[in-house]
Amino acid sequence: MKTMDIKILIDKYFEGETSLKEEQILFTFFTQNDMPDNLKSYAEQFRLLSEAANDKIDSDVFDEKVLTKFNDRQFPIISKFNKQYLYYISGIAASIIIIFGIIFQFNSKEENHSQSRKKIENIYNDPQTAYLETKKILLFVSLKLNQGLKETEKISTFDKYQEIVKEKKEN
Amino acid sequence: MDVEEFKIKIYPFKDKLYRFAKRFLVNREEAEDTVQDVFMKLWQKRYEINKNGSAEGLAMTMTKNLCIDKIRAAKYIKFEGIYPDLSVDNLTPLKKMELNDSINKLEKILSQLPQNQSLILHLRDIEGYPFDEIAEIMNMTKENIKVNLSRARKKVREILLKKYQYENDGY
Repeated sequence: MKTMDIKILIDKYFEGETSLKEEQILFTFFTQNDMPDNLKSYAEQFRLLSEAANDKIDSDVFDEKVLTKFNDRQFPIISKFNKQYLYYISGIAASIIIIFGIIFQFNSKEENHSQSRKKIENIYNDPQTAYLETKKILLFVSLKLNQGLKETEKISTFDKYQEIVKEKKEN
Repeated sequence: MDVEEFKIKIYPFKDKLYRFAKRFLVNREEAEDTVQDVFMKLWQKRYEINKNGSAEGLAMTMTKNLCIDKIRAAKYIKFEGIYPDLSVDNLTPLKKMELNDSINKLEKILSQLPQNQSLILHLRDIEGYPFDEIAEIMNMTKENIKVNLSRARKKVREILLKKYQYENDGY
C-alpha cells in the first residue's frame, strides 16, 4: 500500500471515521517490520492494540470451575412472572374453598344445633349440679384472688423499706 | 437447553467477556470470576435466549453491568483487592519484567483515559465490534461513540509520544 494512502487512512482513523475494513488494513500494515520512517511513530499504537486481543482465560482452570458450579447447584429458571395466570389460579382456588365451605355448612348445621341444645338442657335439668359447679368456680377464683393480693402486699412492704433507706441516706 | 448445548453456545465468546471484564477490573482473577458469574446468569435465563440468535451482545452488556456493580461495591467498602498495586517501587524484578509485557503496557495507557473512552476503544480496536453493537452495549448513541473513539485514539497517541520523549531524553 502506498504511503500516501496509508496516511489518509491514519487521519481518518484518528477522526473515528474509518470502517472496520479500513482499520483491518491499518492493523495489517503495521504488523510488518519494514515501513517508511514518517509512519514509524504510529506502529506502537497499532501493535499494542493487536496484541491485546491475544489475552485469554486460562482454559483448563476455568472449565473446571464452571463445570463444578453447574453440577453442584440447582439453578432455578428465572421466568417472567405472569400476573394473569396468578389471578386465574387464585380465582379457581377461592371458588373451590367457598364450595367446600358451603357443603360443610349444610352437613354440620343440623348436628351443631342439636349438640349445643343438649348441653343447655343438661344444665337446666339439673340446677343442683349447676349450683355446685358455680360454687366451685367462685371458690377457685377467690383463692387465686387472695394469692394475688398477698403478692401485692409484698409491694407495699417494699415501699416501706425504700422509705427507711431514703431516710437513712438523708441522715 | 442442556448444559452441553449451553456451553457450545456461549463458549465462543468467553475470551471477549474476559478481556472486557479485565478492562474494568484490571485483576485477572476478578475478571475470570465475573465471566463465571455472567455464565451463571445466562444459564438461569437460558429459556429466554433465542436459540438461533447470538447471546454475545447480551453477555457483554451483562458483563459491563456486573463490573460496574463490583467497582461501586468496592469503592463503598474501601476494598483494596480489585486494583493491583502497580507502584513500581514495590515490585520484584520479575514483576517489573512482566510489566513490560504489551498487555500491561496498554493497560497502563488506557487507565489514563476516562472510563467510557477506554471501553469504547477496547470494543472497537481490540474486539472489532461494529458501531451499532458498541452503541447497544454502552447504551450510547452512534455519534457519541464516534466522538469518544476519536478522542481515545488521539489520547493514546499523545501518551505514547510523551513516553518516547521521556525515554529518549531521560537517559
